[in-house]
Amino acid sequence: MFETFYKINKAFVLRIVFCGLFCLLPIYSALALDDDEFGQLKLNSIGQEVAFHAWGGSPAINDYIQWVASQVDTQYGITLNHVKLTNTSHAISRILAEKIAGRAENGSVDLLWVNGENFSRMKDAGLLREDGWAYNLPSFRYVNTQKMPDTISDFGIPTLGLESPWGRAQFVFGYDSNVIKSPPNSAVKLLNWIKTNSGKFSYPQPPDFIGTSFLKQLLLQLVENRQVLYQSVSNTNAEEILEPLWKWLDEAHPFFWRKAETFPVNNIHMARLLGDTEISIAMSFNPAEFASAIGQGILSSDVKSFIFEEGSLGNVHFVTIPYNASSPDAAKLVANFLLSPEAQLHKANIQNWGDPTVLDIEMLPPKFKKSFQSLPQHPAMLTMQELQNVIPEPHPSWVKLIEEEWQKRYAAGS
Amino acid sequence: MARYSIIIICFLPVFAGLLGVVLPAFGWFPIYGKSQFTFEILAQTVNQPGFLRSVWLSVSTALLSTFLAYWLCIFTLIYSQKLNLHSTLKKIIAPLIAVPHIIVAMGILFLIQPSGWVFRIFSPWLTGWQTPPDLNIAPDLYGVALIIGLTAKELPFLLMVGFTVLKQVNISRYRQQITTFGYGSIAGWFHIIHPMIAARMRVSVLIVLCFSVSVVDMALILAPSTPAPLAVKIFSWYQSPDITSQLIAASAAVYLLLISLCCCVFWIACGAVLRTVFRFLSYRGARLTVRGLPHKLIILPVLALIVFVLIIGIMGLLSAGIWGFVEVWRFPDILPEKWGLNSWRNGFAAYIPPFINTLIVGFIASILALISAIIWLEYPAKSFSKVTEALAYIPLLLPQTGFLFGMQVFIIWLEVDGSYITVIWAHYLFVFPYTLLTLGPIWRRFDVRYELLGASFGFSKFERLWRIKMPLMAVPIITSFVIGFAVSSALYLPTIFAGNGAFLTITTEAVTLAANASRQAAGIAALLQMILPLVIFIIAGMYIRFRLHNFSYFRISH
Repeated sequence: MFETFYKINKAFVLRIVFCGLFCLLPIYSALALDDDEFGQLKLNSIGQEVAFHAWGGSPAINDYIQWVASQVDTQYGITLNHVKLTNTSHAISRILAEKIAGRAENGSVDLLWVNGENFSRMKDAGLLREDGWAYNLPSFRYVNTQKMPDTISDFGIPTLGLESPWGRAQFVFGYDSNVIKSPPNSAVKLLNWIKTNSGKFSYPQPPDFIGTSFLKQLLLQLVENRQVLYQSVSNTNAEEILEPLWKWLDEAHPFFWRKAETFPVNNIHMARLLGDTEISIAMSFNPAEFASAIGQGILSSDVKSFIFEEGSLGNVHFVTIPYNASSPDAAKLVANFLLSPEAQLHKANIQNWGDPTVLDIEMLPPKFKKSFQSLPQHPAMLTMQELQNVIPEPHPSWVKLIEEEWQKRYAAGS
Repeated sequence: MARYSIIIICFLPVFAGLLGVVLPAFGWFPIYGKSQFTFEILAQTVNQPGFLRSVWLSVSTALLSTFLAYWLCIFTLIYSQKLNLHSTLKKIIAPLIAVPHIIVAMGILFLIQPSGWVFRIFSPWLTGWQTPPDLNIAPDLYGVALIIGLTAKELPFLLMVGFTVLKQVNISRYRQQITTFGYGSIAGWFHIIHPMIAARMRVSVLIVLCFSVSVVDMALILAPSTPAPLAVKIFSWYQSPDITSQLIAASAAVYLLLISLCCCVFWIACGAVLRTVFRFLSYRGARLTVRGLPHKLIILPVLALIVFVLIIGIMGLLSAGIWGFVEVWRFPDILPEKWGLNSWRNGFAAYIPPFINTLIVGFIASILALISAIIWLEYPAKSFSKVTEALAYIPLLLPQTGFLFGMQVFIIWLEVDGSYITVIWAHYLFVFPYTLLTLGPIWRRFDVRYELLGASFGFSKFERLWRIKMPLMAVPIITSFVIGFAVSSALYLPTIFAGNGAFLTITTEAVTLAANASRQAAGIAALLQMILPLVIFIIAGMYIRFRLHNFSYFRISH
């Protein structure tokens, strides 16, 4: 039947076919601009769905991911679904459950927002896609691994291209400038401030990420020789090293918010408490958080930021692809887009999210370089210069020890 | 037969889930090369710092809150009977039943924390506090806030069950008799009505008790954290990607199972003792008469407590709702400084897919539950009827944290995770027992003579059901559908586990926002959460009124 149809309408059919090919030409040429492998990825990914599992508690971040979704939809025809996690480990235990059930492909997670301890555990458990994909992303050429070694070493663990850098986090304090005139910017000053201002300080209860980070920040300040913290716990005299931290806490806790009998659940809870003036200092891993909380009306505009003068804890957060992802090619494209100057610029803007870029601004095309330099500033946010003093994360093995010891000492009840 | 197939649908996955928890607790976790049975992990779990205190917190908060909820419920029933408050009370408790625990918890927290609404109302003009006082309340060390929260949430549920149960017992007749014999109305209650109600409410109360032992979301906000109740600790152990933590979580879940079993046994035993005492008093003809001041001293605090708990629940919801329209609201302002719709503009579109999901899943799950409940009731088991009846309630009587993880492995292994069908089925597991609970008592009370009449017309069993029983039972059927829908729309953990974590409903959104975001965002989530079941409540109410309208001629006015 098709034959007769073809014979009768030969000219028409040929015309249609040629028109079709002609229309495909620009698409083909666009693909040809990239290196072959990446073009193949794009072809493979049209119409695919990517399940992006990422913490979903912040409206600003959720909106940013929605923006990314609309971008990858128009640019690559990928449907990006943001799976909002309350805790990243939910997704990890899901991948683990999939591994237990023997599902080696068609996994439920395509892309996962991760770093530090979670990454190291996924890596050890063999839950990650192992082909060094992250180094081959076209956007990775703007990452300066010399200047920012954290982009290939996650809490001291080499990433080996198993995850692609997404943004930077740095530990900052927020304070109520109505109550505090000069912020206590060292461990000793903070202790004195807590003692004279009883009931106005606390930290999120470990194993909350921010709470544990505060303990690490303190430890980095209190320890005699910081270098020991960059080794695995088993190689050190851990008990002695942690001693000053417990001493500091023992001294400070009686003067804490609710006498350290209870702690805030997480940094969001803490921000609420700062907004309610129950406490006067809060903390965050996002230098823009206080500025955006002021914008949302959670905090009063009197809140300002500070960091310890010796420097503050900083790390890079990544996106990774599990070993059994359903659409790994499309996930790579999304990871590449997340790392592109365009997406990084949108993310660094305080009006969107305010998360610092992992790219080296100096290496960018002049257009983007200029846009990065003219990003809006906010009085509650520290400047790039003020944030320069970054202390890298200790070896991840310290986290577990600190959390367990803390649990024993302060959360076991009397 | 029909009954057994329903049991298999309900019970098998739960059983698989239990295996998935019990085996790791004994050290069997083959994926990590652990395939030796040991008691080591169970022992290690007990040695976790603060373990016993966690257990104590779980037990004490659960027993106390259930005790309060139950007795306040009984007294409310007595007084609503006396004062004719039924319909008013039903309207008050509807929103409290409809929303999930976390929203009530959020509201209560905002109400009673030191920077909360209550303190704002009295500051600074009375207290002199310009900044919130540093008081250790909400959460407090003993879990009082959690007890208040649980009571406020469970009292309405028990009241609803109580109202249904009361309809079964012909109270007015008994009340006349009681009065004729010269007993006071409350004494009469305890001699005659309470024993009848207590037996009929037992399953519901045990469900409340087991739920309180294993509550996670509410406890995260209202319970102490140094240490936290056991269920919360299990949840955080499961969350840790560390493999030993997973094993400890599994074995702690086994302990939690035992604990809730012990609590149930304790509750039933106490009930038995109380029954014996009352039977003794009844046989002796004890008048239980307390008049004047002592009477007031007993009754006033109880009534005050009931009002307090209901007000806390309602005000909590109200404050959660208000936050949806707030831009700035600081201590010590009694009302927000700046109102606005900012939070709605930002996030409203994102709520549409979860809204639709909630609607679809809730609808299908409750319809299915309704159909199987009717089949269940129409074809009673010939033998072991009590046992099979008990099996239906298993999903509600086991701690959710216990079997859901094991069930998740099972679901993934079947490769059905994340689909509508799986989520609907997981919801069905929980909706079915509630439907049975609300429909069962009334269904069994159906007057057999109607059926005999139908049979005399030569109607088949199905025709009798379809043409006689169903239309006559329209009101209870709709009511239990509505309750099924409310249960489904408030389910959190089952949705997360069956839905791949990717299946969004209003509740998953609300919990994420309530735990992690601003009060403004959580306020919106709370409102949306309330709207859906409430709309269904209202539509059903209108339909019921419409149906009863035709019979208004027969109604005897009070």
